[in-house]
Amino acid sequence: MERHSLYKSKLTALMFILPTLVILIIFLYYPTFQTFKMSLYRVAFLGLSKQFVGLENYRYIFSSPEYRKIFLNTAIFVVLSVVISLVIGLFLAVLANQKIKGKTVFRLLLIWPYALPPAVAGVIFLFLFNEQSGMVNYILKHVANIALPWLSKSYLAMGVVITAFVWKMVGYNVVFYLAALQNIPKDIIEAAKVEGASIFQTFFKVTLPMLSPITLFLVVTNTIAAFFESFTFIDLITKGGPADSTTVIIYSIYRDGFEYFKTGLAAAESVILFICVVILTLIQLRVSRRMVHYEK
Amino acid sequence: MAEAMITLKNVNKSFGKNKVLEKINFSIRKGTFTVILGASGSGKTTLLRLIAGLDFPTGGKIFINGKDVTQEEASKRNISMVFQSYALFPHMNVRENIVFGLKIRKVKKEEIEKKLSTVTKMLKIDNLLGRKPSELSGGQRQRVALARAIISERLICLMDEPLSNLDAKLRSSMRKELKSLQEKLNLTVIYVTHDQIEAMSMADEIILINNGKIEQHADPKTIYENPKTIYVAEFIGTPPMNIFNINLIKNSNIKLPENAEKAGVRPESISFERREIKIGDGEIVFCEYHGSETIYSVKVNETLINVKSIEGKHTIGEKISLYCNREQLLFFNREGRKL
Repeated sequence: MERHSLYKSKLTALMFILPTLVILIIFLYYPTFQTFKMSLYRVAFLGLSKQFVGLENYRYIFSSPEYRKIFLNTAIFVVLSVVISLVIGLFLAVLANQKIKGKTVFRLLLIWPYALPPAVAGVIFLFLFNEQSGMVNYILKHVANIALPWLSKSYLAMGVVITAFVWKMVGYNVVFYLAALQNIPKDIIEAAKVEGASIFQTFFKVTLPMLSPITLFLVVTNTIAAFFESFTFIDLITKGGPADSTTVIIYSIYRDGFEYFKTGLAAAESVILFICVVILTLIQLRVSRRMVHYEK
Repeated sequence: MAEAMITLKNVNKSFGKNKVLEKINFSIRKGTFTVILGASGSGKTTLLRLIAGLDFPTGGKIFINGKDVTQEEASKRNISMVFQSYALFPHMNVRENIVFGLKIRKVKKEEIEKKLSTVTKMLKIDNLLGRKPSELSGGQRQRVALARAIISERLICLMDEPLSNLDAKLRSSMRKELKSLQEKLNLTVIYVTHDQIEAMSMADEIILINNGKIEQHADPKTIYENPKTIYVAEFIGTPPMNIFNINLIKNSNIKLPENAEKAGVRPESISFERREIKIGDGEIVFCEYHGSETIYSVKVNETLINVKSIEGKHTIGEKISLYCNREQLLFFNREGRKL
């Protein structure tokens, strides 16, 4: 086969990718490699000395009930937030896609939360759900004369962080779903109508399957976001509490690494998280081969 | 006269200030093939969408089978439709596409299978059932769309330029097939097109639309031989009817109707040999050789007149006289209406 090359020599081509490569090596590949290496050591405070322990860090993590709980919390957080943010995102996108007056305003408002920095969003929710002076309890007290211990009851606290994360993520999903909805040819929806399909039948049998490629993309990106970007919300709103009930793995890595200075342990957790994300993404891609239809 | 299947009464449609259809009145009989013909932008597709229930009129009423359906949704009108783009569901294979409507209506499985096999055999697509639309050629997609439209045996089938995406050869064979399918199933078809050949060859009746108004509603023969307006005369025929000022033939000793402003004659009715009326002397400025016939453009004074002739021997630059018979001349008044 003839080789198509834009450049005369390999060296020229290499020179072009070199800057990117250098940055990737320094800031991505080398630290990743160091993390893998570090996970096999027990590291003393500030890394003053380290001792090779093999897979001891991993054995400790998998046998400790404390970490098992963290994994469970992570699973709950990721699954619930991804499902909820996708469903709400799609629902709002469908509404925003209607021919209504002022739709540009609605679309803008829907996308707004995504434009907020996570730290700002986190603080907003911290204020909203503050048990003594928060807006939510203020309203509940006036309307139903109750006040809920939002941040000191474990499942409520989890609910609050998930809500915060979903609220932030929905804007992103709306943008993508809206774009995808507008890409569905009008003819096809009309054909379904003429064939006698009701609005719901049209949505579930035609629209939804045609959104499958974007849904796959959003499942992958939302999952990754739920693993990593949840940090800000948990750090700001609950600090992993009460009683570690909202500690997810990314927060635990931060705590072990930078508060308890168990660098080796944190590195091992990072490796586990890394592997989890890779496996999950692979599963999602595999499943998608059956479920997702790509337009040619 | 057979019963009216579809009736439109004083139907108007505007988008904002833009009037797309004005005072549309017509009735379509059961089992006929009606073509809505018009240039692009004339409102013909809008008219079809009103009948389908995909758009709603701003005024007037639509009746299907005697029932007022003016405000009824498309899904309730019990019609089928073939779209210009075919509008096949890309995520479903051919089988799923065709039976979509039957499944929605919860038709029994055995019945679906029976109908599916009849329809797909009739349209010769029974070997494609497992394929996705993206794996089909244009002609095959067309057939799938047709199958989806006819399988549920709804009496009215609307078609929006269904052949415009096919190549010329396939188009002409599909024309015949569509027509015979319509006759076989006794369908009431409303077919939208801008292609006069499609209209002339398939239609029982043609509704010619111009600028949102009906110019003429008649069978193809009447439309061709007896156009109501200059617009119709110039729309139909390749090349279209020659329309020229009455002054050109004023001195040829024939009685002209009163108020006649323009005269029209079909290109094939003009002869180079002496006939009752002499149109004038001119010079051939262009010839188009078509094999069995040649189309000459002849300049008579300042008027360009097309002549369709089986003689191919004349050449550009030749001086020639044009004649025709009295009954082949049509006269139009100042407003463009036929006298």
